[in-house]
Amino acid sequence: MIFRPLVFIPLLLLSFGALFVLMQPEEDKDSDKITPQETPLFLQQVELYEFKENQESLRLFAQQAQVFEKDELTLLFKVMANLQAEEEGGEPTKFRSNEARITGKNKFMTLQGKVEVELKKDSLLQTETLYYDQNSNRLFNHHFTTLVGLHEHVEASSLNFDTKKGILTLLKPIITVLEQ
Amino acid sequence: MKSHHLFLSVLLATFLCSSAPVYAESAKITSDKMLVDKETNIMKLLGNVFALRQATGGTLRAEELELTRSKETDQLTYGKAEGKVVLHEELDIVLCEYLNFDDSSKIAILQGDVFVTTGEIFLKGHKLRYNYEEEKGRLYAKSQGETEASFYREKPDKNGNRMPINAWAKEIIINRPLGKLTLQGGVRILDESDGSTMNAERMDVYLNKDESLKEIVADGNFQMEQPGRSAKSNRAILDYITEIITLTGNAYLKEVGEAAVQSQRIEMHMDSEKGMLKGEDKKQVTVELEF
Repeated sequence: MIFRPLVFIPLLLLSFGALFVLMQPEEDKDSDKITPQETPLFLQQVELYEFKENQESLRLFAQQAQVFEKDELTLLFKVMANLQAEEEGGEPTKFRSNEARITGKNKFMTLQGKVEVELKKDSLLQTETLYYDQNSNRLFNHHFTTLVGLHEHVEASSLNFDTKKGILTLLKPIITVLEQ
Repeated sequence: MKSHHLFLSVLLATFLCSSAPVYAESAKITSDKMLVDKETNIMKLLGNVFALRQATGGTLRAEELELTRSKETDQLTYGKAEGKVVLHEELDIVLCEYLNFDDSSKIAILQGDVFVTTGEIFLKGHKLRYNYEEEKGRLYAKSQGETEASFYREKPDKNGNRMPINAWAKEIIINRPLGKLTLQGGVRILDESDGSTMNAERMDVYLNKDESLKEIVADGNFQMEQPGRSAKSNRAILDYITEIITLTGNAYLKEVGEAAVQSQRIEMHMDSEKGMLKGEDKKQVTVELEF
């Protein structure tokens, strides 16, 4: 099923749940396990698009989606996404995960499972939980993260990636420079 | 040389660091924070940067480390370390406040109270510019200041000590393939084994393979003061293997209790107690009478 063009999150969500997520501290956003009671709407082969100033800024593909309208919750499975660079000619940032969860309509997504972010060719971030906040243009977490590049392997305690500026910040990194 | 190997490139910036193989090494680096700019390919490590070269135990410490890779080849092209930079590899220690290297020019620049020692040699200055491929460089002093260097003779002195020979000069030129350090600009030397001093406009210091002192060639207004004698000449060669000093060009020697002599060439023992060996066209210029 294809929504095109589709404003990324809002069309999938009801309106009044946004405050719920906004009021949660960042650390808790992955622990607020919601157990939806309602029967979801099942979707297959979902594509979502986000446009900014008539330019496609995000394209997201999921093999499956479950939409819980009352709970303002959308679960996505086998997710792949492309974040277009703001600068012309800039490389897109690609990320994928086993699952993604969108709560409310605040443009905030939680990616879980095997989460991978391809910053550029041969440079891959791996973690188990990652948040994507479209409002602040950042991917972030407070979880163990690895960055695997051609020349180094990095382990860090948390990450923040400014998708607009293309700046990745890793805290407490341990970098292993790989043999050539 | 694997120039993209960040830690090795930094270490290679230290002119006298070991001749150990630089291939197939790996390093581990930690810091408080790491920033990667996806667009520019710049990686910055901030706060308590510590790098360990696995194979040798060599370490790098700094407050910040910045590394830039080529977007085309992903090879390391530029790096800099700032804030109490300490490189330690076996006996080699390098201290400075700021260090950068550019892999296109193979030039490393170290600044701010630069201190380099290999165990056998000690160098101190304000700025070191070093080509780590050619292994040549220049150590500068602060304006109005001096660079410092210390060397050691291969063998201990008669008391069994290896006392340093300390030198000061406006700048020091390093030529590692030739094992040569050129000190120039108001060069002064103090040999702590006997308290002798030497002055000249320029001195070439030649080192043995183990970096012990082999020979000093002094040019321009050479003057030497030793316990019991003084000498001067246009040029002097101090051979630390044979322990012979050769003065050439308006050579002058005055030993206590002896008449001063002047010659175009005078040879003498380094040990002032052993005195002069020979002089060509020896001409006595003064007579000292003892009563």
